[in-house]
This record gives sequence, structure tokens and C-alpha cells, in this order.
Amino acid sequence: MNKQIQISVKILLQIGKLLLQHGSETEVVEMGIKRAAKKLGYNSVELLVLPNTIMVGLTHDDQSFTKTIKAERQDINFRVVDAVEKIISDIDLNTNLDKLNALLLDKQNLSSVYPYQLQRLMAALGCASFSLLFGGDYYIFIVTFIASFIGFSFNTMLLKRFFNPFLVIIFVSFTTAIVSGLLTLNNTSSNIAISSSILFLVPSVAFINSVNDLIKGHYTNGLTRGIRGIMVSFAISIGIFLALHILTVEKFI
Amino acid sequence: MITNIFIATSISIAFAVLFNAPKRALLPIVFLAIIALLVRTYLLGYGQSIEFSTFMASLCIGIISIFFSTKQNIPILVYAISSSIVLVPTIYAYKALIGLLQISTNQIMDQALIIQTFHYSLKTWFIFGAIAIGIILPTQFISKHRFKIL
Repeated sequence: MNKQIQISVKILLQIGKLLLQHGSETEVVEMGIKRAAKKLGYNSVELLVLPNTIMVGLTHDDQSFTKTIKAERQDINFRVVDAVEKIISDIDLNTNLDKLNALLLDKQNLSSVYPYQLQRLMAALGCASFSLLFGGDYYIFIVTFIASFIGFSFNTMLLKRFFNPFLVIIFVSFTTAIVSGLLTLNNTSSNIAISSSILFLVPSVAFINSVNDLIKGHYTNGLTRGIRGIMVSFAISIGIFLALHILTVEKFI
Repeated sequence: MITNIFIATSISIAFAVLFNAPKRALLPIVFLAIIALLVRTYLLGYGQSIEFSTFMASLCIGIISIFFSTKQNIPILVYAISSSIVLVPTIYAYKALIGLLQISTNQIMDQALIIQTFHYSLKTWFIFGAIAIGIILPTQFISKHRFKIL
């Protein structure tokens, strides 16, 4: 019995960590942990979700266990959210707990579904289509495609070496703005090219999740996510500022 | 209209791939993005403001994604975020940014520029708020879904 509670707490913490790290809001994390605990046979579960820490306490008869886990990275990976959701709905009282723990720790679940070359092409295509939406012509389309292709490749290259994420964003937005600015030096709609080629960096998930959390009453998490989004936007704007200072601002209004 | 459909398709597929969405969710995401972009374009054509039309478009995303999420058993977040990227107001954000840069460098006496910058930055924030509230609002009315998949 003792060992069973311990491993249950571990499983619940791992579920919460995976959900919190890969871009789901606080309400989803709490609901996921509570549903899993109910399916494992524990009626009362104490839980505290902070922006990068989760604490879970389980009580059974006279024994109680409390444990914390830290969720360091924050990136968006909806495949993990989907996989964890499926694992939770498959749990029942007869599930082998060791096997379940191994399934949750499996690195195979975290890996990307799509190959890296496809991701690069898609990032470039998405940003280039945005330039069409804002009223650019086909030359702007091609410029945006090239600039965001280079920017996205640079982004993954730097992130692999574990730089500070904000520094990476400054470098990447600087490079992208320089490339798209140089290619559209004497064009009247160069602002469209610059503004849509950095779109793959925009922290829209952080903002949307922040409003979600604030509305549902998780004020600490909502504010933290919002501030993270603002930090990322500032990093992007510092990069563009640098690039435009080098290319002189007056040309790009 | 055909250009709009093409734009919505490529943007939503691109960002769904970047966010690593599961493959069975790709088709609903494209569908939602096309609907959102068409709704926004038509409302803008009828003379509504950009905030209101963005809000209505994201409300459409929120309502329809509840249906898909109960059918495919995937959290609403996956559909809503990947498809609402189409509505993000970057051109206003960029104009606000350039305005700030201009104010700080040279033209301090130009009051119209300051007011314009303020206007653009407010517009950016209100559009972000409209997207987020439009997505969340439908999930709050349906108590059954609140406890199943959010």
C-alpha cells in the first residue's frame, strides 16, 4: 500500500508536468490531475499549481504523501497534450502502475510528428501568407518566405545550444528584419515584409493562456504568463529596433 | 474569397505543424481558420470595426471547436490556438513599434505621431483581448464540457 501511494503521486506529478510544460492552461492541468486521481481510486487530492512548480498530496487511510515537481521548459507541443489526455482516459483501477509511469516518462511521446524540413518550409509559408493577408504583392511574398526561412533555421540552431531564450529571440528577429529589409530597400510596402516575417516568434499562446487563466481566477499563473509574453514581445522589438537603426528608420514607414 | 481561403489554409496548416498538433486535428483546424477569416472579412466589409469583427470571428472558432473537441476527444486549446493565429494583428503592432522608435529618435514636436502611436498600440491590445475572450466565452456556458475537456 505504501509503495502504491508513492508511485501514484509520481504518476500524477508527471501528468501535471507534461501538461503544464507544453502549453495548456492551469484549469486543464488541475482537471487532468483530478480526473487521473479519481480513476486511480483516490477521492481526495490536494494540489497546488504554480507557474513552474506543481505540488500534489494524496491521502489514503492514515497515510499521506506530498511531493513537488519543477517544470522548467515552456514550449508548445500539442501532441503531448493529446497523448496525456488519451492516457488519462485509458486509466482504470486495474492498470499496472509501473507500466503507466514508464509510459508517461517515454521520450517517444515528446518527439515531433513532423520532420524538421517540413517545419521549416511551413514556418516560411505561413509567414509569407500573412504578408498576402496584409496586402503585399508576390515580390513581398517571396521576400517574406526567404527571410522567415532563414530566421527559423537560425532559431532552431541557436535553441539547440541552450542559449537564453530571450537572447535567441533578439538575435533571430534582428536577422530576419535585416534580411527582409535589405531585400525591400526601395519598396513602398517593406513594412509588410518586415512585420510578417517575424510572425513565427509572436507569443500568441502565452497571451491567450494568460487571459484564460485570469478569467478563471488563477491570478498568479495568468500574470506570470502575461509577463512572459510581454518579455518575448520586447525581445522581438529590440531586435527589430537594432535592424531598423542600421537600415535607417525613415525608409520603412 | 478564393485568395482568403488559400491564405487561411496555408497559415493554419503552417502554425499547426509548428505547434506539433496531432494529425487528425489538422482538417478541423483548417476549417475553423477559413470560417474565422471569412467572417472577419465580411464583417469588415459591412463597415464594422476591426475589434468587433475579430471578436465575432473568434466566437465562431470557440463555438465550433467545442463540437470538434467532443467528437475527437482533443482539448479545445489545440483547435482554438492554431486557428486563431489568422486573426493576430501584427501590422498594428509593427506600426506602434515604429511610431515609438520615431518618437524616441527625432520628431518630438509632432503630436499627431504620438497620438497615432498610442492609437495603434491600444488597437493591438484590444484585438488580442477580443481573440482570447471570444475563444473562452463559449466554454464557460456549457458546464458539462468544463469538467470533461476544456
